[in-house]
Amino acid sequence: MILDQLENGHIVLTADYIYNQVPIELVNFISAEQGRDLQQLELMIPLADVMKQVSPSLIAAHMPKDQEDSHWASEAAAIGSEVTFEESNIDKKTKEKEEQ
Amino acid sequence: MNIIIYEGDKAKLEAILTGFIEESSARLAMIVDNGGMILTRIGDFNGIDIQPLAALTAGSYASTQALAKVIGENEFTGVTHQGKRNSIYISMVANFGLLVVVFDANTTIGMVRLSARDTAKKLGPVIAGIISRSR
Amino acid sequence: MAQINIAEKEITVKIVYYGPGMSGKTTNLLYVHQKISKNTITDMVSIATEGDRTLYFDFLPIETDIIPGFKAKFQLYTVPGQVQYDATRNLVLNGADGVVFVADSQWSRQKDNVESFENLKENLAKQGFTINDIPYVLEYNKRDIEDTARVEYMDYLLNREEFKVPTFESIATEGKGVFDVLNAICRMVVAKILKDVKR
Repeated sequence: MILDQLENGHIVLTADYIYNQVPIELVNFISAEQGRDLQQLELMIPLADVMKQVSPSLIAAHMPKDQEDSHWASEAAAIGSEVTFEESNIDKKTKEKEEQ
Repeated sequence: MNIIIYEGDKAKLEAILTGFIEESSARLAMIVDNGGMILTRIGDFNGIDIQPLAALTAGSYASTQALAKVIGENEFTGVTHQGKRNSIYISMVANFGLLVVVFDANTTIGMVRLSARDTAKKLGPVIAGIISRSR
Repeated sequence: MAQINIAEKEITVKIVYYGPGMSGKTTNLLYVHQKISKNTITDMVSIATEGDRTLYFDFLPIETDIIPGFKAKFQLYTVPGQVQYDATRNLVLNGADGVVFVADSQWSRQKDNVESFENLKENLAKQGFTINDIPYVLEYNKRDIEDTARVEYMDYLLNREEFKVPTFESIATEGKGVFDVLNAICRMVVAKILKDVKR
C-alpha cells in the first residue's frame, strides 16, 4: 500500500492497515485526522520519514525500464556555445550606480 | 507549428499598417500573435517598451476573452483601454492574432475602430498566407 | 509557437517556467534579470499580488546572436503556481516552445510538485500536445533547505515519462543553477526549431 502511493508524493493509510501491517516504528510518527470509522480513518504519514527507510536501489528498481533520453537534449549539445547566456559578476544595481 | 515570415510578408503587412495609421491618425499599430510575439509594427514608439506592450496586450486580451465566456458571450469584439493622454485598442485579426493600436487626442476611438475593421479585412489574407505556408 | 522572421533575421521563442506555488519560478527570472551580462536593456514585467505572489505572469525578454547577423529572442514567462489560478496558467502556457518545471525540493511539497506536473500535462493536452512534444527540463530548487527530498526520489516522481529529461539542482535565491537551466532549455528549443526548419 505504501509503495503504490510513492509516486503521488504523499502517502495516506487507513488505521486498519496500520494495526495489521505497518511496523511499529512508522506508527510512532503518525498524527491523526478526525473520524470514527477505523476503515475510513486516514492518517498522513510524513513522507520524509518513510523515504529515509527506503533504499535508493528500491526507487531505482521502480523507474521505467525502457526510458530513452530526450533527443532534444542530445541535439542541444551540438548547439552548445552558440546559444549561451553569461552570468555577469557584477549585478545590475552596482553597474547602474557606477555609471551614475 | 512555427510561423515563418519572409520579406514579402513583412512588406505587405507594413504597407497595410502604414495605410491604417494614415487613415486613422493613430500613434502606432502592431500585429501580435496570441502568445505575445510581434509580427510587425509601424508608428511612433517613443517612450514605449515594445516587448512588454506586446506581452501584456496578448495576456490582457486572452483574459478578457476568457471573461466573455464566463458571462456567456462568445467574445468581446474589440477592447479599448482609455487613458488620459494615450489609449489602447485591441482587436482580433484573422482568428490568429491581435491588431494593437495606441492612439491619442489626434483621433477618436470611433475613427480607430472604423479603420481597424477595414484593416483587419486587408490583413486577413496576408496572415492566412503566412500561416498556411508555415504548416 | 516560435516565430522565424527571415525578414528581420531573428527567431522568437516562448519559454514558460511552470511549477507549484512558491517553488522559485519568479526567483529564477529575477536572478536572470539581475545578472544577465548582455548589453541589451531588458525590462522585466511582473503582474503580482501585494504579497509578491505571481498573479498573472512575469515576463522577461532576452536575446542573443545564434550566428552572425541572426538573433534568437527568448521570451521568458512564469505562471502563477497557486492551484486556484489554473485558468490564467493555461493562458500563459499558450504557445510555449519550451518549459522549465521548477520543483520545490522540500519533502512537504512533493505532493504539490506531482499535482503541478499533472496539471502541466493536462494544460498541454488542451493545446493538443503531450509532454513528449515539447522540450522541457526539470529544476529541483531549494537544495539549500535542511532535509530536502533525494534527487532520485524527485526523479521517480517527475522524470518517469517516455523520455528522460535533463535535471538540475538549484538554489535560485543564490542563483545557483539558474543560468545552467536557462542555457539548457534555450539550446533545446533552438535545436528543435532548427530541426523543424530543415524538414
